[in-house]
Amino acid sequence: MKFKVLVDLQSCQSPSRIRGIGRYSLDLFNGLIENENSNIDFHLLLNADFQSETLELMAIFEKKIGCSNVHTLNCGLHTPVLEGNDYLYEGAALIREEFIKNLDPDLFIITSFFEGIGDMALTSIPHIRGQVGVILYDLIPLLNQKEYLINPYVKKWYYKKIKSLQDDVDILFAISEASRLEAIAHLNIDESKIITISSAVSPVFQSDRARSAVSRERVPDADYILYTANLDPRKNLKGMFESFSLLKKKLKSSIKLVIVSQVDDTKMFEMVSLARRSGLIESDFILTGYISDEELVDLYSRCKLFVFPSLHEGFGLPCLEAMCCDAAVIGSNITSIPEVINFDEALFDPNDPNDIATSMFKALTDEFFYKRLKQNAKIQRTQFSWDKTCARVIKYIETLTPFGDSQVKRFNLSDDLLKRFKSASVNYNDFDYIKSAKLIELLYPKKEPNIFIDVTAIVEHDAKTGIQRVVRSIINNIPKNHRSKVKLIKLVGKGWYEYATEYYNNTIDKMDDVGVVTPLKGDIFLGLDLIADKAECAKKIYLEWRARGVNISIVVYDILPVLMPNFFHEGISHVFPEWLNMVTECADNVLCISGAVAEDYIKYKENKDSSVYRKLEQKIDYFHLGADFEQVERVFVESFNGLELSKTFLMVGTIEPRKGHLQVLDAFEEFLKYKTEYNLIIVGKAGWNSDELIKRLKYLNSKSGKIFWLNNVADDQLNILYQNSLALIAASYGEGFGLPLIEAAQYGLPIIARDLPVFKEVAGDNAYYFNSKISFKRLAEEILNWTDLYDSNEHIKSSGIEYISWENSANRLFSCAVRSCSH
Amino acid sequence: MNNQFYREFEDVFRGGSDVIQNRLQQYLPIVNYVKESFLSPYALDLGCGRGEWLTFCKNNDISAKGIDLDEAMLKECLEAGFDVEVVDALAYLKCLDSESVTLISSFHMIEHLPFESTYELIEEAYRVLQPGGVILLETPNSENIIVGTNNFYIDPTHIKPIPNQLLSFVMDYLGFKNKKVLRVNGSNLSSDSLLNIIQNVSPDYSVLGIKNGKNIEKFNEIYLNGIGSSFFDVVSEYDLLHKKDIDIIKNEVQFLKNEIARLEFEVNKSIFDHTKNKLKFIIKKILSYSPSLDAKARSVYSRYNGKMNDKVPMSSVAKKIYKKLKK
Repeated sequence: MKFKVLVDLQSCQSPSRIRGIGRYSLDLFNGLIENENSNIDFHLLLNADFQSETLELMAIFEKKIGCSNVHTLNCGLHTPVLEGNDYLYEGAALIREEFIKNLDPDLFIITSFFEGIGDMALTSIPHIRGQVGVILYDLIPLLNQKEYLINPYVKKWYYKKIKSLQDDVDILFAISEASRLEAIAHLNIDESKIITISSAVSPVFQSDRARSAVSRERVPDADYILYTANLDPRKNLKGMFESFSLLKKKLKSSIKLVIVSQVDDTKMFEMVSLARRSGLIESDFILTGYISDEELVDLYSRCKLFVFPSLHEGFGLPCLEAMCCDAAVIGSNITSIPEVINFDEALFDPNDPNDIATSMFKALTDEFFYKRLKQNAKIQRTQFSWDKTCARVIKYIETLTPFGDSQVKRFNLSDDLLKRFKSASVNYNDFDYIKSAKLIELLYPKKEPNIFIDVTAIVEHDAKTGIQRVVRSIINNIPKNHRSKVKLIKLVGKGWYEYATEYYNNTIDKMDDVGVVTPLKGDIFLGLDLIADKAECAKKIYLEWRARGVNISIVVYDILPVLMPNFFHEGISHVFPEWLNMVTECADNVLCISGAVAEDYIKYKENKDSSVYRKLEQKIDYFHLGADFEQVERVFVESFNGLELSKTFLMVGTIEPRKGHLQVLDAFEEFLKYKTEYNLIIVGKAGWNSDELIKRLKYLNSKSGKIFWLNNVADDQLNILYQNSLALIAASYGEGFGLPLIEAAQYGLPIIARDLPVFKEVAGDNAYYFNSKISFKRLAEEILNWTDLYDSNEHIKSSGIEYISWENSANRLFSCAVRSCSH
Repeated sequence: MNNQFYREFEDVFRGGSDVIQNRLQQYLPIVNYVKESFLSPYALDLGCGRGEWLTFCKNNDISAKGIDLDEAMLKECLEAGFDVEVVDALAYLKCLDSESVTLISSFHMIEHLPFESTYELIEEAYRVLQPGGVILLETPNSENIIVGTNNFYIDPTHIKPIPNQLLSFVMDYLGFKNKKVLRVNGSNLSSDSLLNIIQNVSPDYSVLGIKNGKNIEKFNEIYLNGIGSSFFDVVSEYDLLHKKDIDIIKNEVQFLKNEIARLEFEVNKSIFDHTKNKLKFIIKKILSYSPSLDAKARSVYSRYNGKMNDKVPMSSVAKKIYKKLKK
């Protein structure tokens, strides 16, 4: 039985993610999931309200722990603490706790408990049967209330949090011994309920790492003392400046002070004025502003001395980072810093600038002392690592026993929650109730995941296009084992999906579902219908669904409007790129209708500029379209419209420039000069931009007696043409698939085709190909050549073309869409 | 005005004999008609001048007589051995027998006569012509506005221009059948300039008429399509040509207008896109410079996103939950 650990990583989503806490949480979680103990199953909990961060973290961790172990939850009801969210907090917390309860972890670790002051993060201790653990960084606000708890909202919230730590938490993981002792002293927490797990640096700070060349523009090569600080009073920047001013007077050689000040400009001005008031001049110091990790590593490595005069730390990570980069480090003798430096002579009283200055002077002038500082760094940095820290957590976990799966999973709103929610929501308005209801709906998993199929366009209007034929065929051939899971849905103009109830009833079966669609984690969305004009709206929805754990599969019929925009109506060539862009950003599964389309898509994606932001994996797959032929009785007909069919070539497809009719007409007229006995029948409706061609076809209809255009042909008539004509000419410049080729093969009609990759994929060696970029004169020669081959019965026969049924096509599509979501 | 003056005047303004001989070629169909219809046709040229027409008849094997009042001009004719007489045309016709002449012609003479004399001359000609005989009268064409307003009056002996409608009417009135109006002696300059257009209207015209007789069908067959250019023809052609030009220009202007509108749209759009991108870039830059601002911006965006979702109605499941919550 595996031990289930659920880790809340909101600290990597809220603004904390750019601070030490976010970095600590991410490094810790990464370390934990890489541990050797295979009896522990790690799960991740994210707050889907931070959508882009959720997707980023999903991209990292779905691969590592599996999609099914990544859970996301919206806390949308909640508002930031600073906005006075008292009346909403409890209800929102209840909903969240219900979700966690349903996940039923044996241990729930909250990586940062003090979140949500100015954002949507929500951390509360759920009442679960497993234990709840919290990472404790420090109690700085509690111990420095005058500086940190001025805002009454914040103060109230902080105290509530502290109370919760005292009452509801089973285990605290302190990041330093000093923090542990603080908690024991000030929170009155039993020693057994708090363990020190310590901290470590991120891999980037490991000094043996090859350092990339970074710009040294900010800090030129020269002796300098380094400190990483902001204006937070506990960072004691004032003390640093004053002691440096004292040092300068004592020191003969010149040295600069470099402050790694990861703050905005306005704060930098304050720093400058603080430095001036402490007696420094501009040339004495450098404020770096924001810098990259690599730059920071470079600064640590080059500094003469790293000084850390902080008044209060949870751990004091910069000291360790500096030591990892082989810096000589001296620092405060209070809170957690002595633990990290662990060298009494290197410590000073941070409240006494003279003492700091004396220490600095000693380090810079006493060579032996300086060597020992360097030596100490080498020793200390081996004392801390994520392996060690994580091992402490794992060791704790190993003392616990898992509960197992005895608890019954809930699938709908429990009476218990309802009762508690009602007492928590007395001050709710209608709007709050609606929001709550929507959030509660997301809490409970369905017993069986659904497959939501987009049929937006065909529901609006069945224009009998190629795509809609595919949509219809797939829907009519949904694999039996998936049929009960399938729901047909449509994107409505207002920006959400609704059940296509009527269409479902007309095509598949009875369906009760009506109204707005809410897919949940584990559900599958299959974008079967093309909704090119609604890309923007769809993108918003899909990203939201994806953050919720819904798997997004989108069918790509072709990307021709991007590859050959000239062949498409302006409307399409305008909206299609946006749609394709949406696909590259949103789809977990891109399901193309042929290998050739998949190739095109891959190429398109490679050449795309990197502005498309998607870190999540994207699988590209393809399925072939099917073809179902009813057994048609063979009808032998010698002539059609007075044309001898055994001497008649056939073209089938909409009349539009892409289909290559023009070239074939030119070629055929040329061909007729040599072989007058042949004819050409063109079957197809007039399509986009075909006025000129239609005029010519109409003229040919009335004049040539050799070339006929049939605008509207009934199926049985088309069957007769397929059965009795001489050969099919497939001259299109671009296709997603090649259904007419398969149809022709079905009737044993030989094929002359442009050598498009997709035609070769469909017809293989069973068609006569002519070069894509051929001139009409050469095409005429090719036809001539073909007739010669035919006359000597050496032409290529189409009977070898293989095709799959729609049933198999649908099977393949569904297996592609379903496969990808299982880890 | 002495005769010598007029002789030289003719040379300057009417053109040399050879030019005129050339022009007369256009009357070949009449001469052929006469030759084919009569065994021994006999032509009479009134006002024969330097004898151009007589030469033309002689070249085409038709015996002809010329009369003129200008002795100086006739001198050339006599030298060439033509049958000519110095006599008044009307007086001469009057003394001829009825139905004794096959072809009566007069080139640029009637404009020198008072209208009454012209009238009488045509009346007499009708009498004198054999059945199937033809009259041919050539005179300046006042449709050509340079001729009508100026060139006609260069010759001081001209009285007034005779519009072809008047001459036609008189011929009709006096019994001639199937008269044909020919525009002659014109040039055929390209019609792209107004000056050419004006000059292209034939400067002279002639009216042909036949005295009723057995050969009338044959006569009908000549000049079926008319010759030369009337004022109407030329100006219509000019109008048509320019209408085409104007249509082309109109289309061009419309195209350019559309093009300008399109470019304007594109420029605006690209300025908009550029500004948008620039702004995006600046915001991105600012945010990349300040991770804390970036974090705040993202958090605000997340909330905005959440707010947008408030518009989505509840699903049926959510509605049930909502009812339970509110109960």
